[in-house]
Order: sequence, then structure tokens, then C-alpha cells
Amino acid sequence: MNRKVTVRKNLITRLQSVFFGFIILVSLNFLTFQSALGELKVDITRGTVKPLPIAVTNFIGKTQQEIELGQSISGIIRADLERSGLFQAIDNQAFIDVERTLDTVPQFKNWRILNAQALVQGHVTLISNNRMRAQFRLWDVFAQQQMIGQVYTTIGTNWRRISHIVADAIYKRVTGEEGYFDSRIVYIAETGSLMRRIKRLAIMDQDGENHHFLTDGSSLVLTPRFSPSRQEITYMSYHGKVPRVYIFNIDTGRQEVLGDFPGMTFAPRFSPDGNTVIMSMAKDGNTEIYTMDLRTRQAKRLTRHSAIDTSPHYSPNGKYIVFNSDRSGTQQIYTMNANGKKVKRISFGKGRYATPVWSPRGDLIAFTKMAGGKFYIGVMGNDGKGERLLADGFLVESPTWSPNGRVIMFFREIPKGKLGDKETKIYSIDLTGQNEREIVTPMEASDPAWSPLIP
Amino acid sequence: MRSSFLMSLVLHVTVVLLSVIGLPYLQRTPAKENMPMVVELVSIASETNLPAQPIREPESKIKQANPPLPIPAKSETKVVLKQKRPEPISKILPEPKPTVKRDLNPKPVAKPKRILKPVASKKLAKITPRRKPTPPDPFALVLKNLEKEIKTTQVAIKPKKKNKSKKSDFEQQIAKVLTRRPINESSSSRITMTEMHAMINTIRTAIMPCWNLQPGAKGAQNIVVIIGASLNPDGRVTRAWVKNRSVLIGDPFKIAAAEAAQRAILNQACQPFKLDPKKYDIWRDVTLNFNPSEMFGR
Repeated sequence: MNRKVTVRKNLITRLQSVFFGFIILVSLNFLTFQSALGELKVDITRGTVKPLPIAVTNFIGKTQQEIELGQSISGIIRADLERSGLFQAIDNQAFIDVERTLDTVPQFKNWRILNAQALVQGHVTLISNNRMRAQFRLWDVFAQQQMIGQVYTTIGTNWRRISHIVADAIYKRVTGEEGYFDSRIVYIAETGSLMRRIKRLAIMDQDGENHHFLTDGSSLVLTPRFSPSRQEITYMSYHGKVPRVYIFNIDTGRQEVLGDFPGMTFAPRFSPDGNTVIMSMAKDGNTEIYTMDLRTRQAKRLTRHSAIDTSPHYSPNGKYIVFNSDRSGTQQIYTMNANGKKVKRISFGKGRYATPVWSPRGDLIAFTKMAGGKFYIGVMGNDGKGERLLADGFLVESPTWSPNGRVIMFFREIPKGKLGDKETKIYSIDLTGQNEREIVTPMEASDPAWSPLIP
Repeated sequence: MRSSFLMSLVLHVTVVLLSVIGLPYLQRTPAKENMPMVVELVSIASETNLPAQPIREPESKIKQANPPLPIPAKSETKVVLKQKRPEPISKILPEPKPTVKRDLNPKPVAKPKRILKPVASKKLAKITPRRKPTPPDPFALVLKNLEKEIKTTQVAIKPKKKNKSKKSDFEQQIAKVLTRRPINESSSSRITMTEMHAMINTIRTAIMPCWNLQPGAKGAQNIVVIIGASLNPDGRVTRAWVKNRSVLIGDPFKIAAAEAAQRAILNQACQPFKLDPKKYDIWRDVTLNFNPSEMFGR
């Protein structure tokens, strides 16, 4: 009897166990799991693209003259950084307590309140013989560390350049790429009516200051390009009866025709070492690409095709050339070796492509595209892949890269009220397609060309 | 009909029997009756008494209990010391070549009109967004392409794809969590899958607005930065360091990306992380994987 009761009890217990077992299994499946971890791992796959908040304090000085100079230098640095679109300068009025010396570590908490992620402090001293010394420190506010500190000594009139050089140093330290503020722009300044247009070669700092005309407008000039190594510009001019490629020396103001070609020469560009000019020559209805060695003045033909081959441009390493040609029926972009061999088409999108320009970084090619009755400025990889259109308009043309390959400058024609009337302006755009800005010039402007960093 | 019923009954009984016999006992069988044993009750000496298992308290409580070692005060004294010894100026540049020697005033100098100061360009910068009236979506692809914009106006957007990617992201996180090896078996480290996901999500959502990318940098889409961070029980980051520095060193773009990631985790504006203090053991140390490839549409 006792045994029977025990067996029954056992059976009931077993049934209970089975039931609860199922319940626990289901609960484990759907509700809980046990995890014992050493360290939590989090994948951050998305962020924001915002300008970095930076506080640029006025460079301190002892005398009134130094204080004013310090304010001007800081103003230029702020403007340069803001124009890049990658920095947001915090208003000086918001500063809580500005350090009076460069010899102490800043009170970071005062800058954290303003959400300043970087802090620039500087000092300017006027020394004898019209010379000046400028020093600055860049601080990482969150990490509470100095990122960079430098001193520059120069003649007093160079204060604008010093400001650009400091801005370049800050830009490089924060973004990892070379700056481009200590550079210049050469462009075609346009005046007059559509029928009597005067086009002059003009030059200015990248921020629009120090503007000068290089030619008087008696001859039409087009497509100016900077030498990467010398203070020279090459361009096409209608100086004589036949349009020809010229070289202009900025230091001496001298210009000379390049080579004695039997036909019209145009679309010139320097090689990366500055020793060669590559250009197009049109003769008997055929346009081919030629190079001219500036030391020996020897010309060399690179392309041999019945189609129009033009707008050549060297890759930064000088090994390849990108150009446009209509050999496939429509205007497309091609690459070839520097000796003219291994021609390869790289653009296959809808529409026509022109004016390819290799990025100084060597990773992208900028171009002008015509499609659907509109013009575009775009970029593509060296193999033609990853095409992106950055800017558009009734007419946008002539892209040119900043020395660091980050910004593209181009010109845009905007039709005005009357038939055929138009306005021409220069614009810059970040290669991400953001931060499009007009480059303010004293008059209408076209065909910009960005210089390398000033040596 | 009848046979089917019988068959079903037999099968059901078989399944139940198999379960009863086949499955192990979850409850022990009643213990066998034992012979009574005489036990002498003696008092335990205080030396032999085992101390109670120390209960791990959050770090903040410990700090409060021991005021002589407050971490913030320590770091403050460091700052004061630093102030007395500023970092030396890293580089003294040689005199830049005097550019004034260059005569930029050739013969036909026409005095240009006064150029507008950079304020004008600021104005223009404000004007440009007219073309894109909607504010930029921080989660949109970082590289603008006009062609894509044109296409999206013509073709209806397929939200399903986005959901898929989100889902796959979630699944990846869960899969990672599930495949981790257990190390610590303390009671506070027992967390549910939902809790774990919520924890990851809280940190991720908090950091995202503070992670400022440089999409225009060369190879930006391929730069992955791993940051280690220590957190206080209040959810604030006390320390952050780059874990894969050896991979990044030598490339200024990568170093800049690493510093940007470090700034994101140190940015007080995105803290404290609202995490359960009871689970502090789990999130005291965090590893953050900053991988922007998704933002480039990869």
C-alpha cells in the first residue's frame, strides 16, 4: 500500500517536472538569455556631418598696434576655416574668459561650456626692422591636450600670408589633409556687353584679397593654368591672328608664345613637375594632343586619331593623362599612358563629358557633363566608376581642384532677363557636394584655376 | 473514424509516456529515511566565522565613502601642474620667403573695385540651401549626388530596404551578443537579450549626434576606429583611448578620424548614457566600433 502511494507520488512529480520543463524552455526561448560579458561592444555606424565648433581667440599683443594686428590675423583664420565648411567659428562675444598668455594651459571647462571642441590661442609681437612674430597653439578641448603649436617670423607686410599659413596648419591637424588657404586663384575677369566682351587675366588670393590684373584686355584670353613649380601661368590668347598657347611669368610680367605650331593651339596644362606643357593642336580639321618640353622646346604628338582629342590633363604622378575625345561618336573621357599608349574609355554615363581634371590627391577626376539640356560638375574614380554630380546649372564649366584635392572651383553662367544676356560667376564646392559658395570678384569671372600652395 | 481516433489516442499516450519516462527528473525523489543522528550544538568562535560575501557597490558609492581619494580632485591637481609647465612650442618655422618681392602689379594695373569681405560669402552660403529647402538629414548618405536626387524624385522610395538593413543590423548585434563567451558569472551580469539590445542602443543613439565625420577625407569610408572607454556609474565617460592605434598610425587621415571618434565619446553634450546602474558590471568598460561605411551606402 505504502509502495503504491510512493509510486503515485513519483508519477505526479514527474508529470509536474515535464510540465514545468516545457514552460521553462519556452520562456528561455522567447524571453531571456543569460549573458555574462567582459566588455560591452557597440557598433557605431552612423554619425553626423557638421562643422567642428572651434574657438579662435584674438591673438594677444602688448601695444595697440599688436592688438589690432592680432585681431586682423584671427579674423582671417576664422574666415578661412569657416569658408571650408568644416569648421564653425564660435562668436568671440560668447567667450567666458580668454587667457592673457600662451604660457598657461587654458581653463578647458570654460570652453567646454561653449561646446568648443578646438581652441586656438595666439600671440603677435612686432619686432625691429618692420618684422613680426606670430605664435599660436591649437588645443583639443575634450582631450585637454595641445594638438599643435608653432612660431612664425616674417616681415610685417606678410601678415595676411601668416594668417593663411596658421589656418592651413589648423586645418591639417584637425582634418588630416593639407590646407589650401595659402594659395591663389587666376581667372578671366569679364567686362562689357555680350558683343564687346573684354576678357582679362586676373589673379587674387583664394579669399578674394590682393586682386590684380595681369593683362590689359587688348587680347582675348582663355583657360589660364598655374605652373605647379614656378610663378608661371599658361593660357590661350587671341594675341595674333591665330589663337595660341602662351606662358606668362608672374614675377616679370613677360609673356611668350609656346612653340611654333602650324595650327591653332589651345587647352594647355602643365605637367606635375612643371617641365612640360600638354595641349591640343587643331590643324586641317583634326585635333590632336601634343606635349612641349619647356627646357628643350621639343614638341611631341601623343594621339593619332581622326576624332577630336582635347582637354588633356596629367595624373598627379605624371604617369597617365586624362582627356576627352569623340572617337566613340560622342564626347567621352579617356585615359592613356603619358606616352600616348593604352587609350581607355572611362566614362559611360548618359550625356557628353568634357574638361576632365585629375585631383591632386589622385583618387578622383572632376569633369563637366552635359545631359538633358543641363550642365553638371561632377567627379568620378580614376576608372570612371562612382560618378557623382555635385553642381548644376544652365552652364557650369571648367572645374579646378584646390591644392589639397578637397574643393572644386568652377564657373557658372546665369541667364538674365534679356535674350542672350548672362552673368558669369565663380563658385566653389566641397567634393562631398556640400558647402557651395560664390567666390566674390570685383567683376564677372570665368575659367578659374587654383594655384598650388605658395612656396 | 473510430480507428483514427484510437490511433490518435495511442500516439498521444505514447508521447506522454515517453516524456514522463524519457525526460530527467527536475525534482529529486524523496530522500530515504535516515537513522537519527546525535548532533552536539556548540557556539562558533568569532575567528572561524566566515565574513559575509562582499556586495559589489557602484564605484560612485565607494568614492563617496572614501573622500581622501576623489578622482576628480586628483585630475584637477594635474591640470594645475600642467599650467605651470606648458607644452613647448613644437616647431619653429624658418622665415617664410618674402612674397612682397613678387611684383604682382604689372603694367596695365587697373584698380579693382573693393572686394567684398568674407561676410558676403557667408551670405551666399546662407542662400545656397534654397535649392535644398529641407534641412540636411544627418542620416542620409554623406556624399551628395545630384543624379541620385533627380532619380529619387521620379521613383518612389522603397522604405522596405531601409527596414531590412536596420533589421539586419539588429540581427547582427544579437548574433554577436549570442556568440560571446561567458566570462563572469556574477548575478548582475545576467541580463536578458532585450536589456542587452536596449543597452547597446542607448549608447549608440547617444553617441551618433556627437560623431562628426569627415566624409570628404581620402578613403574615409574604409577607416574603422576602435575606441575603448571606461564609464562611471552615473553613465559618464571617464577615459577613452584608441584601441587600434597601430593600424592608424602614419596616415594623417586615419589619425584625424581616430581623434574625431575620441571626441565623440568624450563629448559631454552626449552624456550621461542613461543605463541601468544595477547592470554597471556590464557597461563599466565599453568598446566602440566606429565604422562609417554604411553612411557611404556600402
